[in-house]
Amino acid sequence: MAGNKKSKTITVDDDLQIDPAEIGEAAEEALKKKRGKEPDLTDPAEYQREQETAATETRTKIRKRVIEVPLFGEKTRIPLDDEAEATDDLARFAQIASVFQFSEADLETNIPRYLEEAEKAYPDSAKIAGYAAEIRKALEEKRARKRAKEAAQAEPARAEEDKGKGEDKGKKEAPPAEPAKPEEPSTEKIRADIARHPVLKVLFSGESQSAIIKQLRALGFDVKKLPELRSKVRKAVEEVTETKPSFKTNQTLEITSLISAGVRSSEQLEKLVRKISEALPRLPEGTEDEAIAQEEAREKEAESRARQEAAKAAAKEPPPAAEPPAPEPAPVAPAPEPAAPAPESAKPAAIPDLELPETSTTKPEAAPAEKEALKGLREYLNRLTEGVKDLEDLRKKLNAIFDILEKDLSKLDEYDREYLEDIQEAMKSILLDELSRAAGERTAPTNFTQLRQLLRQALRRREEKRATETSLRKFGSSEELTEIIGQFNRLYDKVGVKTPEEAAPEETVYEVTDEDIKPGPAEPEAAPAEPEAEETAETVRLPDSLAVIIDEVAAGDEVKKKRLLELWKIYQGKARFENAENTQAVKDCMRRALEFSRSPRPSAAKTDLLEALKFDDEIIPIGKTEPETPPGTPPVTPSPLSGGAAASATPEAADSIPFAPPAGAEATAEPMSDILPEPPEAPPRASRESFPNVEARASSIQAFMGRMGFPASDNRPAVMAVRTVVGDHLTDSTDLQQLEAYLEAGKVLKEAERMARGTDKTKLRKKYYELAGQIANINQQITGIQYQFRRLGRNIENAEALGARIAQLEEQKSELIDQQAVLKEALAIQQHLADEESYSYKEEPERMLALVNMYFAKRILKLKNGEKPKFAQIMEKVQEQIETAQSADAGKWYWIANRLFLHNYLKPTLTTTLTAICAKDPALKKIDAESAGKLAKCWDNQESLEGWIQGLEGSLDHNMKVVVPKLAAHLANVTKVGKMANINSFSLNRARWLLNKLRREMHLYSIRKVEKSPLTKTPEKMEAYFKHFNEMSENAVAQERIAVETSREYLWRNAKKLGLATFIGGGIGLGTASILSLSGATLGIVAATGGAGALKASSMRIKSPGMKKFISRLSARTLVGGSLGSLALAASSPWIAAPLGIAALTGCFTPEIARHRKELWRNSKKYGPGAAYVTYRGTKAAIGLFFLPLNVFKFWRRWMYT
Amino acid sequence: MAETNTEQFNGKVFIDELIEEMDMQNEDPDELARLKEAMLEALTRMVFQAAEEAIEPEVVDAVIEKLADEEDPGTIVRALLRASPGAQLAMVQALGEFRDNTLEAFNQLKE
Repeated sequence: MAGNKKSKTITVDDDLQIDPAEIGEAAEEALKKKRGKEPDLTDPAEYQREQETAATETRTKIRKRVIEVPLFGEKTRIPLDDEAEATDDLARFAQIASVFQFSEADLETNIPRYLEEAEKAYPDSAKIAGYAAEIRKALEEKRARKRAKEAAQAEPARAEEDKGKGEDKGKKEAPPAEPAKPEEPSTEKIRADIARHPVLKVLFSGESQSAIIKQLRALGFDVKKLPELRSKVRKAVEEVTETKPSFKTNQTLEITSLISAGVRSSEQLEKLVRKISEALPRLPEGTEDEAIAQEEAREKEAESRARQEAAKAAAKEPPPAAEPPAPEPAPVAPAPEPAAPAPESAKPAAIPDLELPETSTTKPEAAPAEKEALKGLREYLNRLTEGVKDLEDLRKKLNAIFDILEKDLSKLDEYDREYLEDIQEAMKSILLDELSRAAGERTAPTNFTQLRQLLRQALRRREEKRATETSLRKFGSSEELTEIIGQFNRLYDKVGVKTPEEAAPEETVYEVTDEDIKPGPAEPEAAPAEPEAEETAETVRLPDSLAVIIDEVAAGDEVKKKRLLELWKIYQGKARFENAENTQAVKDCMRRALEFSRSPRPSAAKTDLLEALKFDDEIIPIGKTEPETPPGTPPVTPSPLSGGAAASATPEAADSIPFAPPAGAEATAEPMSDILPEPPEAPPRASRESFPNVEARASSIQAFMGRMGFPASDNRPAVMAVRTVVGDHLTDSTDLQQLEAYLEAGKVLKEAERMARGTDKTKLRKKYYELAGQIANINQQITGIQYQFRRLGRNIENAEALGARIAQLEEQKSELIDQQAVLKEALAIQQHLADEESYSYKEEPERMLALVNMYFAKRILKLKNGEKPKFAQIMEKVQEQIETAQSADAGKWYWIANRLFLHNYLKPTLTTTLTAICAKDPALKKIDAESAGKLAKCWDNQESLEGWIQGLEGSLDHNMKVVVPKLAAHLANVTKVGKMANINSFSLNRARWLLNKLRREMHLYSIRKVEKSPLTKTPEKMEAYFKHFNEMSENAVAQERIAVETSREYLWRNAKKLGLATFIGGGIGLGTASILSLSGATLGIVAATGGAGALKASSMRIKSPGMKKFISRLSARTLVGGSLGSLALAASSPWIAAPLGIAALTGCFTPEIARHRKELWRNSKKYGPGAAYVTYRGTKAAIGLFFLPLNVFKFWRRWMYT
Repeated sequence: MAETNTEQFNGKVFIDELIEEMDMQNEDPDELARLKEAMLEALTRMVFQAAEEAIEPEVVDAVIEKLADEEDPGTIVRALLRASPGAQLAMVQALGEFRDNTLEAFNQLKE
């Protein structure tokens, strides 16, 4: 805690990058001083050397500005140049000193030394001295407490008794908010003090609430002003204990601001609860009781007010005082409290506990105050429920109630009263639900007593967990585990020598009070006991998690393991030490081991997850010690969460979810995966809660996306893809929390990566080589000095100086080497990034999508076999997902656009196109309209294409060699990008499918043909296949030519008749099916004819001057069809002399295109090919303005295509 | 889709690689030469067919206007292909398709 915060005060740090600016400045200054002028730049080498020397000196000087003291397992620094900082640190330390768990060494030596050093550094600072005194006092108390605990442990019975007392006092529903330490002396002392203090005496008198209120009034308290009361109580507590209660001001402020901002979501509620929990348990032990007292006082007030009400108004129904108020709003809601009305008014008391007393009982005389109070209450409740969807309905009802109340408070009829009761119930149930969820509980409490208990448990557990994590972080390893193991070992020794009367190592005993274990670990004592009736060590049933720890401790030693199992038996009460006197230590240890083996807990709140995920590299994954419970194993360890009322819930549900903190240790393979944190392991399916319905699921995904900054209105493809992916993998809401935590953690980059991303590559390189040069330079210097050594061996004075210089240089060198390592890593990362350039994403949603994919992939893989996903694979996947989302989006508009443009309806469908083609082409004459219709149905296998071909008259060979290629050629022309206008857009894709099928048929037929041939050798067969295939293709080309021959006149005639412009325009909306279907082929071949002569009419083999003119005036666009293939086929083209062939491809592919081909495909899909481009965009813009909700179209689409 | 080094595309190398993939590189050289010739022709057909079908009219407009006086059809073709992303993509896909077809045929026809 305190140690971590200190690092920011240090400008130069061995672990951090050295601040070059400071060094450089200091160095130059030193140089200037040394030379008395500007550094001489003519000799750069010398200058550099000087600079380095100066830099080293500066560094040393700067490092001298701090004092380092080992504390919290690391070096804690006291800044010597900044008194304010030091004071601040000490103040912070003082705040936590009384509650923090210190190690023995820290407690006894390190902290005193730290304080000593601090005082030595700032002898004049009164503040520091004050804080130091405070800390010393806290330490003293701690030591005293520890001694007390030792005494208590020697006599557990007494401790329990004490606890019992504490509970009596704390009332049944109020277990201490923090794992209470049974420190007798201080409790006794406080009790005595309480008895002395007037206010506290009243508060703890145990009298009825109304009596207390009366007495408080008598003491001059205005009970409606709760904050005032609280401050007075606090003051009283201060007086009693002479210490400040550590309700830190900023925490209180934070809580206040949270409340006043309005609780809008369960997350916020949770945050609030967390804040409160953070504030509460930090109360110094001594003031704990007072904190409870405060709470109780408030509860009592509330109750008493209600009672007074009841008494005054003689209500028939007594207020359900059995249910204590919800802890959240009451104790820590300073904002609403001022609004709480006087005790006379009905509702205010009800805010916290939601007991809306009979409104009919309200007294009209307090009207103005009441009105005000009502206003405040209304405001508060509105704020509390605002934005929470579940509470929306309730809010409306509440407002209605307030309307009623504000109108006439005294005259409420029966109906209204019932209404109010209903509301009360509803609100209670909803809040119970909300709050329990906020408390991280899986099982809903049934009343507020339970709720409060659960909340307290949750808080405590979080606190414990935080403590564990803190210590883990501090020790940089699973110290906790080591400690347990050590303890085991010690205990094992004891079992061995049977000297149990020696108390167990107390300083490590986890502070688990009886309240703590009652709900959780108390049960394992009973539960596992049953299955193991036999006493043999081998058959002892253990909670799996504990078994792992025991295995680890035993480390293969069977005897040792047996002994450890003995311990377990002792813990269960099945075995005893010889002496049989003190099994407490064993129990504590086992309990602790159990606790540890179960933590960190699955249901940890979001923030805990977040914290856990922001791991430091050195943390060893303690999740690894957690084995997966085999499915058949009966639940030996009941849920630690199912305490109290929730005991009925399935115990293993919560417990078996192994929430493992990210495993940084196994990051080895991929640099990119190193950068990204590990996701938590997937929880086993069995223990998951599924969403109640689809809507809940959708809305939770939506809420998640909203939190991540992508509102529902964001329809970018990547965002849509993220939604889809999350939806695909999501099973319950904890998934989302974990995912969110993962994504948050993903934002934290390593220094090297930051460098890699932030700095120019050449600069990094330069710096790297610069460093290399410097290192070489230092090496040289060292060698030089060593030579001098040899020469001046006898001169001790000189030798010392030289030795110091060498040490200095070595130090400098190691620093440089460290820097160089970071740079090297940065360069490697940069290289990696550059390699993945085409996959890198600039925009946030894409990155998020990648991370989400990575997360789920890792989770799935981890479940399978511990593999790691490949970065490139993930990126490919991301690309595909985006494309899918995009094409879905584009397809939607495309579909609409096509249906909106009338000309589309005038264009021929696939059937009419095929009919026209077959009618016009003499080679296809034998295909009549009916047959063509059948062919059109082949596109989606409604008709079998093979069957259709076989059904044609004539030989199969002829049909395959002539008819099919010819059809393919025509269809290719029809579907060509440049000829989009020639077919109805609905049929376009069908035509393409059919074309593909025809081509595939050609390929397959070639194979079949060769299979039937007598050829035996593979190369020959392959050659035959290709030859056959080429022959068929050649036929297609040749037949195109036929089509030209037959249709040229037709073309020319039409051109004259309709006018060129119309014709070239593709005949949109005017042409008949026959013209359109053939125009592609004809124009294409016309162009091909001219292609050889490159558009020169003179070179065309066309006699008619009119035709020549027509051809030469054809738009270049018309040239497209058919020309390229013909041009390229040197062997088969009668017109082209220049051999082109595939060689023409060389150099045609631009690298960019190859690299971005997917993107390009995507764009072509998105905007539609060729002519559709304009249509699509224009239509989208036009429709977007006024058209109907997309759902309608979605429905249409579904209807159309299914 | 098979990964193809399209930056320095060479049809012959492509076919050689395919033949190696089919493990036929050690066959009789004469036979192999004939096979390669047939393959080259098929490949040419498929690739140019694809390019022809996918080339954008806008590209053709622009290129032909620029090269109105160009006599060499090879130059025109190359210019067209270079300028058209659609054609290039289609060709890349056609290469993949050709490879798939070849391997399919090979697997069915091999001894």
